[in-house]
Amino acid sequence: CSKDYLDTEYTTGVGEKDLKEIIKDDPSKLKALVDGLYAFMVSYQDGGSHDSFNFTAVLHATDMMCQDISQPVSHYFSWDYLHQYRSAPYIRTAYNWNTFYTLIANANRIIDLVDRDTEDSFFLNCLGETYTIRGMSYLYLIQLYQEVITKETINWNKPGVPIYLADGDSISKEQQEVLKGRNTVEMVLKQAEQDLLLGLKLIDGFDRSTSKRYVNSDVVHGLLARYYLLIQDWDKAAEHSQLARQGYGLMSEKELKSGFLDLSNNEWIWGFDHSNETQTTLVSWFSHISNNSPGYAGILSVREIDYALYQVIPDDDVRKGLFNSPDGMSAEDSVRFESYFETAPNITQELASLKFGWANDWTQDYPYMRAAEMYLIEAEAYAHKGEYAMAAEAIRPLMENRQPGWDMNEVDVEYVYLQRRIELWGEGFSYFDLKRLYRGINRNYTNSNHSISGQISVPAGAKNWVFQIPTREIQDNVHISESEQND
Amino acid sequence: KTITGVVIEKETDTGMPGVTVVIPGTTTGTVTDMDGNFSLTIDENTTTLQVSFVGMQTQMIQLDARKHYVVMLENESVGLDEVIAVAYGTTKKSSFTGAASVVKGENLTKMQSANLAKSLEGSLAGVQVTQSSGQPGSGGSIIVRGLGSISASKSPLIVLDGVPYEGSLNSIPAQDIENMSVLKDAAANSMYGARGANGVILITTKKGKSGALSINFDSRVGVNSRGVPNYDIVTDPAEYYQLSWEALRNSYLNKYGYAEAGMQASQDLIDNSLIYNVYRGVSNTELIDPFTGMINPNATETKWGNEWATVPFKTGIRQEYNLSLSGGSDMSTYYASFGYLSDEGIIDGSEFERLNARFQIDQKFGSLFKLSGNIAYTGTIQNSAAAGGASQGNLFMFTQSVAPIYPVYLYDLETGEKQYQANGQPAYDYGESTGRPFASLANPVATTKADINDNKADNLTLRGSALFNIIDGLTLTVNGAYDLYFNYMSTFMTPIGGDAQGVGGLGYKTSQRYVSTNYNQLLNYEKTIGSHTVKALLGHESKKNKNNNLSGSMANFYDPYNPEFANATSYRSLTSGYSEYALEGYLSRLEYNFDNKYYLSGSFRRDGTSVFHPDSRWGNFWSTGASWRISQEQWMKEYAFVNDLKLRASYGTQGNDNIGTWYAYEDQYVVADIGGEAGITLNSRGNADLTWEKSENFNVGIETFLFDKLNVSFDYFIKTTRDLLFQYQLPLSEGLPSTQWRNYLDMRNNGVELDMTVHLIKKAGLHWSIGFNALHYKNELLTLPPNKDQNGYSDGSFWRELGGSIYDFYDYKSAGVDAETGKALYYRYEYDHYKNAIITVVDNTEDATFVKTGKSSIPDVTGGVNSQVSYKNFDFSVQTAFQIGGTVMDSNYQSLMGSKVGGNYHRDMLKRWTPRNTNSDVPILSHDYNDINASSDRFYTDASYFNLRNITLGYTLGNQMLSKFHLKSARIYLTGDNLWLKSARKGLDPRQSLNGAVGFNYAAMRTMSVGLSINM
Repeated sequence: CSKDYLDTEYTTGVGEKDLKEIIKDDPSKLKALVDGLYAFMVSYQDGGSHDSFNFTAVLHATDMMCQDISQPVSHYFSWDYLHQYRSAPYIRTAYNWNTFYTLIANANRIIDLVDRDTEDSFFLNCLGETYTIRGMSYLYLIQLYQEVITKETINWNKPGVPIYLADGDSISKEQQEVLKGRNTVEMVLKQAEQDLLLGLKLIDGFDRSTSKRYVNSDVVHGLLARYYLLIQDWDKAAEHSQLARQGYGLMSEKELKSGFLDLSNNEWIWGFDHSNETQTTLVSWFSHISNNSPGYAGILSVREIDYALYQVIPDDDVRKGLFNSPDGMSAEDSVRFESYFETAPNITQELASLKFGWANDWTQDYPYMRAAEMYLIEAEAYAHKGEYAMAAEAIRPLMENRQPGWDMNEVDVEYVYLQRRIELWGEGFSYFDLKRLYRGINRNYTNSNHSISGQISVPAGAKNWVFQIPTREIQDNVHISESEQND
Repeated sequence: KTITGVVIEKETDTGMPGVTVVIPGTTTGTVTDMDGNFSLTIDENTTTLQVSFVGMQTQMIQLDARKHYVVMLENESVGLDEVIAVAYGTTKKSSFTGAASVVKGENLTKMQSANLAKSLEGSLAGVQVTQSSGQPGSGGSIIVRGLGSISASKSPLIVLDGVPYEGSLNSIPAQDIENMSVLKDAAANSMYGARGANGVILITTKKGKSGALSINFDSRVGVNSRGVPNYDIVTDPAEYYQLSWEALRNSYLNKYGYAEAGMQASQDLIDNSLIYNVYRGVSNTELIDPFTGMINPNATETKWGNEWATVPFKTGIRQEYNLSLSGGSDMSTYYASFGYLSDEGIIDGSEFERLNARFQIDQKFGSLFKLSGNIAYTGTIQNSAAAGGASQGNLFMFTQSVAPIYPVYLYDLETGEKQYQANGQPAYDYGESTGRPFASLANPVATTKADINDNKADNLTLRGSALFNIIDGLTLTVNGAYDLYFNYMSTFMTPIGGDAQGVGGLGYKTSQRYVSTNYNQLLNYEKTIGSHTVKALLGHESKKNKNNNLSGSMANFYDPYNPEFANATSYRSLTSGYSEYALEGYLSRLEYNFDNKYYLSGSFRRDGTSVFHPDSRWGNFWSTGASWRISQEQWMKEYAFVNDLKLRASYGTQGNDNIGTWYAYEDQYVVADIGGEAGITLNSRGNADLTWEKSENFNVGIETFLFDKLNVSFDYFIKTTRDLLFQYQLPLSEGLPSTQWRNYLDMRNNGVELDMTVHLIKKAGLHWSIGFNALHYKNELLTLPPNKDQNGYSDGSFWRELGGSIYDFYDYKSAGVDAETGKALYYRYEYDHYKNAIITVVDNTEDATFVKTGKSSIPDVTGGVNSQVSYKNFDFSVQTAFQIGGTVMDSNYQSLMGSKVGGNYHRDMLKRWTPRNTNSDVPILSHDYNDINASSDRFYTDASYFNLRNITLGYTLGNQMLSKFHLKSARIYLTGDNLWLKSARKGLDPRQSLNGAVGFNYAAMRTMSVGLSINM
């Protein structure tokens, strides 16, 4: 046979060599790899179960471990709800781990594809998005796999997580290898900060008019605000949160009640706009969080607001209308939601959330970051410093919108935290807030609407709040031994 | 003139009834009577008679002036001189230096599996068969002499009529098969060196024989039922309510004391938990006595029956018809066959249909040139029910896992009145409108009926060969093969209920065109000088597979029963791809034989494969073998009881490149559609250094025939596989995909296999033989991946260490149940500074540690026993298969020993821990208690089994009757498959996998048929 008889054709994927050539010939095609990062965030893991849908699954699983969501009927995410799913052999910790480390690995591939000395703004912007996603991943990982804060002290020296960097980070292979162990909390936090700051620098001038699914400088500011709030750098937290929300509004009452499913919403800073090709039907965040969609929550396992939290929402707060009362659905809402009763019967349950809606083809968009959160970060930062009046001013635009007639001159951390719980209910913040503020949960109280076996108390600092490193990581990573596992 | 004669069986010296005697090339012939006599009127020009009988060597009788002839027929299988198929040709068994087993076509046709792989269970020494699904048409996996690989394919190479075959074994009807040879050692295999590491199965289809037209027609009709029953699950609603109440009550104990928890549980049992109260006249809150936990004595009349136990299963019909015609002259022979098979399975939506036709012709042109052609078409339609895995559409999971209180059909929960659809048909209960807590949205009876999971396969195989006799002893053979497989797969998830209801139904279509071409050119030379015979072979082979596929999916179907895209409105996805595989090899073989006593053979082959990088793709494979026919020695003549005795030994190497991907040396990315933009992510990791996995095979064997009665073949083998194609697990922190193909690990399988047949009785009209085969092997790792702890490491649920097997289980070790609390106990291993184990007992898996459990899935012995009896016109045969030892992780049992609302229990749950029954090995029953059935060695189960594979009883009709209908022979028979399976636990089928995993798969089927075979 001829010499090239064994050189076969393969067209189902794109080979590494071809990919490099494609990008060399047309640099704009690098963008597809950056888009791959966003795509992975909303995708699901091979062989995964219906509770594996990457980024929002991490958010929801951690939310379920906290106080504010009640799941009276066992189903997906029940083991999270019952605090029995954090240990090494269980799949949850692997899902969480894989989600962020795959983003990191994919980001590193992009960094290595770009010429280090480039001054082309297209490449720089691509790198800006990429570094931001990598920084965000480290920010989440360290909070999931360590107790970063005990009371008010940051545990800089506790063991952290592996750090993977790219050759393009100008770091030798040997140094890269050394970082694959547990490192320290400080190293991981610094890496997150460094990536986010670099992302901010590189992304300068990036126009994302095509879609808010892309990271731009607003998003980086928002992530930096979250980062500085965690490490208690209150001034920087306030500064970045202000910068992040510039140009964004707040939802009207009508918008607030429109289902949190449209990325074009003026209050949303970052999210993902689902299309027919990207939506994942039952294996999706809306399937589990939206009582209004014919998915797991709507039909099988309702998501309710914690009774005690509901009770402290003032009656004149518009957001109280995002939940059924303990007596069930209001007459007004019954008219509004009537058409859903058959396909999503759980919408009528007592204390059921009405917050998240339904699009006929499961193309509800995912919210990742909203301006409201930035007002809350700013207010909390001031409150931590003891500047309660400043805090009140910072939160005022939000509160006047959500609770017409609101007028307080001073607010403390406790108050802002309560507003966070109300405002961001179900959006994946509660676990990280609990740990940041060193709180526990108590679901066992009079009139508790938690499932009876879910009526547990978990104090701040309990080992439950720290995920164990997945068994397979311990097995396959030579830099981490069994004895380095979290308790 | 009329001649007479008698046909005598050589071994027994008795007359044989039913033997066909014909004049070749004509339709003139007869069949012997009960005493073996025949009488035939022939014309004067007739010179030869052909005498043939199934299983016996056909004899050609030269006619002379005699009027009476005595014909001695010899059993085909007894003689070591039978001709068997080997790599690139055939050889006499006596001169063969390798190890091979042969199963004859007629034994395969007894079996009623549409897939040949399943028919091999228990029938060949050294061959292990597992079958994960009983679905009609579904296959089994075959392994030869132990586990050849870890991550790459363990399956043998299938060679059909001399050319590797890529299609499904369900496309080859057993009736077309002359025989199947399994080549097991290096001497036998190395000529397929490239891909023969896991053994080679040669399938030879039937050819015509010169002589009169012979027509065979076989038909059989039968019924299917379940060959493996359900697990011993709770079937009585009262028993279920009591257990479920206790699980609910105990889940309340974190908040209440026993009494209050009991009252709360009785309140909540139906309204806040199970929803369905099957008992008429008992209020929901009074079903269970809150103090005793016992069912209300008034609960006697039920609103509906235990429908999940009965409604889903049916007695399916299986029917099969085969017609073949063959005949020919000295210069030309032909064989043609047609067949039809239809099998309904045991649940709706799992049908299999096959239509096949084959035509084979051999044509000689003088003595110098011969052409052969073989064309076959097989069309199969397989509709697969969603069976397997944890899918709620899986009836075999669902019917065992659903509580016996839920119905298939929709009832008014209060009145028990059956509900109907607008069209008058009973409505199905999807659990949606009622809020059934178990598997809501699902009703697999309704959805397997309405869902479609169709695979239509059209398979055309063309084989041609030309043979030139160049000079005396030197021949050139050119073989060409073109196999075309066209698959059209259609999956449709109905919009009427189930998972796809929300999107108005969901359909997928895949269309695949797979072409496999293979050419080889073989130069053969054979020369005998005195007692020396030399044979040589030089050859070249090239092979290419080309695969095109196109697949798409759509949702929102207008007509809920029309699965075609023309009927759908919402586009989901569309993709296509093309890939190729190429293999090229150069081969040579040399054989030498002295005086038919001493045999030597050697071969060398060099192969390149497109799977690997150009720098790593070529591999060299070789073998050498020798045999000694001791019984031919002069000094052996005094041991008259030794009819035949042969010793043989071989050593050599073979390869494996079958890793399921045709392109392994470069990272591959996939393009996803992100709202109209391309999103690219890594899909698989390449490895440019990846190369052939190689196995080194050493074999010594002895074959003998003693006392005219006993055939024994015994082999000892060592198979060492090096540079295993291993799917290496990277740390998860490297990101997904977390595996990469690498040539890591070496492994050894060594063992023995025994194959024996005893002809117990060989008397006039009565034959009885018993066959036995067995395989024992040990699997052992010789090296570990370089990055891993060389003292051993864990790989998922297996422990890998030097000297251990690849399937050594690594898991939590159960320490029983805490008598005080009822909690499950586990061992925790910690190690001190001196690596001494400190073992403690803990009551949760979070604190427990994984340990080497010392159990492995690999059985001690696998094999089969079979027996054949013929008495006058009756014939009777039994085939069995067995396995001794090995462990399965019975995850089905494990899931039934857990507790979730609305889920069913295994009846072992009745032995659970309670405050009054503290000495139990079943933990406290509670919902929301994850460790109740956490994976551990508690669920390890002995994998031994015994299976009655097949029983056949036949009766051959008498002569007088036949001649009236111009028939040569006719036989009616009853045959039954999979009649009985005995395993360690009712419901457990240990045959499902090699690695000790089981699932709620489509149960193996029992099929009983009645058949008629006629020959004219």
